[in-house]
Amino acid sequence: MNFLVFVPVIALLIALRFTKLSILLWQFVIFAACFILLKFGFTKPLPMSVVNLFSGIIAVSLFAYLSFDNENFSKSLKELKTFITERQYALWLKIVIIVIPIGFGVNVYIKKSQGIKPPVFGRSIHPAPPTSTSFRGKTIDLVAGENPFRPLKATNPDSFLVHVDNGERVYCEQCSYCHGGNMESKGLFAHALDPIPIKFADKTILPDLQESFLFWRIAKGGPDLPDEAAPWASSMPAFEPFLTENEIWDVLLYMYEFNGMTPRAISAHAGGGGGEH
Amino acid sequence: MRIGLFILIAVVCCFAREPRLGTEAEREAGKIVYMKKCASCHGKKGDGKGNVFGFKPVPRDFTLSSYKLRSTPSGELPTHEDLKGAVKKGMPYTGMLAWPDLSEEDLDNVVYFLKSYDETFSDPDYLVDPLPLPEAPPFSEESAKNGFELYKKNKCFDCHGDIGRGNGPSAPTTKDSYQKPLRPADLTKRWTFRNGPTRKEMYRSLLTGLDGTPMASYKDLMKPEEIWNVVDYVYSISNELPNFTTLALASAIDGDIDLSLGDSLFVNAEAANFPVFGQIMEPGREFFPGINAVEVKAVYDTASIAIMLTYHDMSMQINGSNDPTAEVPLYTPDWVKPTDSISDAVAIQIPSKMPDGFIKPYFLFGDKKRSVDIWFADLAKKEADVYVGKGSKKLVKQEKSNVEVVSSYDDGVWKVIFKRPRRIEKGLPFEVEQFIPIALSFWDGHEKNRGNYRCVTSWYNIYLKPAKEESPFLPAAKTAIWVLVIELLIVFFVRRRSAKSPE
Ligand code: HEC
Ligand code: HEC
Ligand code: HEC
Repeated sequence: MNFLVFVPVIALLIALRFTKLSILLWQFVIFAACFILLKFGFTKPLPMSVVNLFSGIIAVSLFAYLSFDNENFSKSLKELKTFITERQYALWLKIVIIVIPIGFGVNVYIKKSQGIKPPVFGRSIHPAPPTSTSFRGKTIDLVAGENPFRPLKATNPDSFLVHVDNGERVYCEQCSYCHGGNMESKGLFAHALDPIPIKFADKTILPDLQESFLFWRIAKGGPDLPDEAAPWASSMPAFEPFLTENEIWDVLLYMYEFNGMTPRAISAHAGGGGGEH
Repeated sequence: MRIGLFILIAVVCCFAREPRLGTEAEREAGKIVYMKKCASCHGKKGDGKGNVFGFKPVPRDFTLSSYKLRSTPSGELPTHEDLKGAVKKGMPYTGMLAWPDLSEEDLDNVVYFLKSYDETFSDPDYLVDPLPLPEAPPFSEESAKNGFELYKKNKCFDCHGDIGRGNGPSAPTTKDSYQKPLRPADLTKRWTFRNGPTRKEMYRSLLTGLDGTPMASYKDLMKPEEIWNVVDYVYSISNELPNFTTLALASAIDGDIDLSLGDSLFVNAEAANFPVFGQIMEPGREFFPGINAVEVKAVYDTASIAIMLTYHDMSMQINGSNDPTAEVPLYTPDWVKPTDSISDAVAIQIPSKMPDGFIKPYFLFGDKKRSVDIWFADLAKKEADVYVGKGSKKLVKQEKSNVEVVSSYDDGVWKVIFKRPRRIEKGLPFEVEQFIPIALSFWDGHEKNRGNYRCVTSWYNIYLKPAKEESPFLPAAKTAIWVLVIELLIVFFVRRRSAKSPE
């Protein structure tokens, strides 16, 4: 979050609450404020498609709010009519009439002169996994499934460390080329991948996910992503041919231990992933 | 008398240079960092025997006292600061990552700890002062020109090629002290240098050499200003950044595309650079790709499209043949490489039909649901084959090939031009103003690449620019006028109604 943007915008909204704005203007201010927050309020910018989607939703709900209350609605229509017909607003009307088309025109001009840009699709959501998956002929429950070795941390720390060590071996052998030895996704090949590998050092990823979800992602990789998870031309390999089931559970232990994180507990919220970031 | 002098020198040395080994506590703290972050590659015993098997060069063995990045003369130990710099900045295009997030303290500690693997670090006799590393004088063309003469005089071309593309006669056989193949740097790609891309860093490489590699120190062979000349030459032929993009623009040309014109067809086409990496997603994994970047240019006429791939390859292999369907082992270590000749090859891959929405076929030769067309050119031959791929194990060669190819190899550079009719009976048409997905594959014959053992790119786009480019002013003005008209209409009707029925 970008507090330099958030704080002033919220402060302005609160300040305006105490003034007497006409309902139309008030709505316009809310819309503009939301748009600015969406567009500039995040340190990691949201993709334009997401901003547009949310702006659309906000516009519709503002309109719904207006029309919900008949009195409000006719009041605002009246305001609009006054603005257009009353002499005292004539100058303002002229300005508005001229400024709006110029705004649209400039927008088109900027878009067109930016040159040709291929469609980009931000990764906004983890894909929803199936409820179970088959791994080398064995069925693995992805909803209630748990890492069979995680309980060892409490019951048998020595044996747990053996599993973490084995996970370290697997990680270096298999994952470091992309996800990087430091889990910052700066591995040897990472710069050539589109989309880029997931950064496990990021605090919003591992702790928000269940291990069974990650098991599925590692076993099946990019090729098994459901169509809804497109547009990913993901290079994440399917590790089923390379790794055993135990090795995948071990590498997960290592990934969490390396970052000092714990997985999300299994909750009523079936479907593992589904979080946004 | 002599002995007395020796003792004196030894005593002075002892006092002058105190080994920097840190305190017990600092080494302990360093050990924790090392075991967590470094041991997996460099080994718990510091012997370079961690768990990675794909990296070339292999992780450094800290017991051998041999380091690439030094400010000290060849054969000497690096300084404490040298080691810290290597860890902090990493070594581009090797397994050694940058660790910019380690604190100064952690950096010191981890370096104290890794020195404890090698007792020479604690022996003051082995400590030497760094060589003077002056600030870089300003770059000049004159100096670069002298540099080229010195480049020739010092036989840099033997490894780095006549004009620095890493393709000298010795290049295919250079090895490091671990007896692993080590490619001489491609001097036109400064961004891949282990020491870094600045002129000062290049000066350091030439002054001190990279120990454990054939890249020697030129301290005694060249004067400092001569080294700066060579540095300026390398600087003048190289780019600091690869300028990778995701889009190749094809320009329209008048008349017909005549392949015999070769690369002069593309003089007015814009170049797009894509990164290339090893295929490690599926069996047949390639961890040491011989190609790391490609330049793509494209032109089209009314009937056909031509795409030119230009890439650096250390050696031309046009003996034998190549086959994208060849069976390969899970992983090909050096000792199981086949001995029969394998030729260089490249392929362009496009979806068999325009993807609906964003869903493309899997980038490794398609998948069960969505197939790709592969234009495969074995560079030992003069024609291209077309395959339809539904996964890298499911390639079907088409009887008829509608793709033509011409290729040439000159001083380390392959240029391969493909040509296909824009519209064909079965297959994706190349229409203007559309983003058409494109992915590339390369087989380096020298590395015995074949089948799925290859170098690849992710999906990128190719876009046919319309012949005449529209100025953005017209559509902008059009939009503005439409909006204005709508506004005026609204005002007009509202005013008329309110005039008719005053409240
Ligand atoms: C060839 C490069 C490559 C290698 C090797 C690789 N990954 Fe990935 N991985 C990716 C890319 C790219 C993504 C992002 C796209 C996606 O989610 O599919 C990804 C995503 C993931 C995800 C998905 C996280 C999420 O939120 O959906 C997990 C988990 C993962 N990788 C684990 C691993 C593990 C464990 C290994 C080693 C056993 C590994 N990866 C090896 C490239 C790689
Ligand atoms: C993913 C594997 C990997 C990890 C993790 C790793 N390294 Fe390296 N390291 C390498 C490789 C590979 C080389 C050899 C590069 C070369 O020779 O060009 C290397 C080289 C080095 C060198 C030698 C530099 C020189 O001048 O020759 C030092 C010092 C070093 N690493 C320290 C570290 C430290 C400290 C860490 C932990 C913070 C670390 N490495 C983590 C792979 C790794
Ligand atoms: C015997 C072969 C050989 C000769 C002769 C040679 N080099 Fe190199 N050079 C190499 C190899 C091999 C490397 C790659 C080292 C590595 O990757 O660790 C290299 C690397 C380099 C680098 C990159 C350093 C870095 O930071 O990665 C530069 C610059 C360079 N050489 C310049 C020169 C110049 C200039 C000359 C002549 C004065 C020369 N070389 C002579 C083999 C040679």
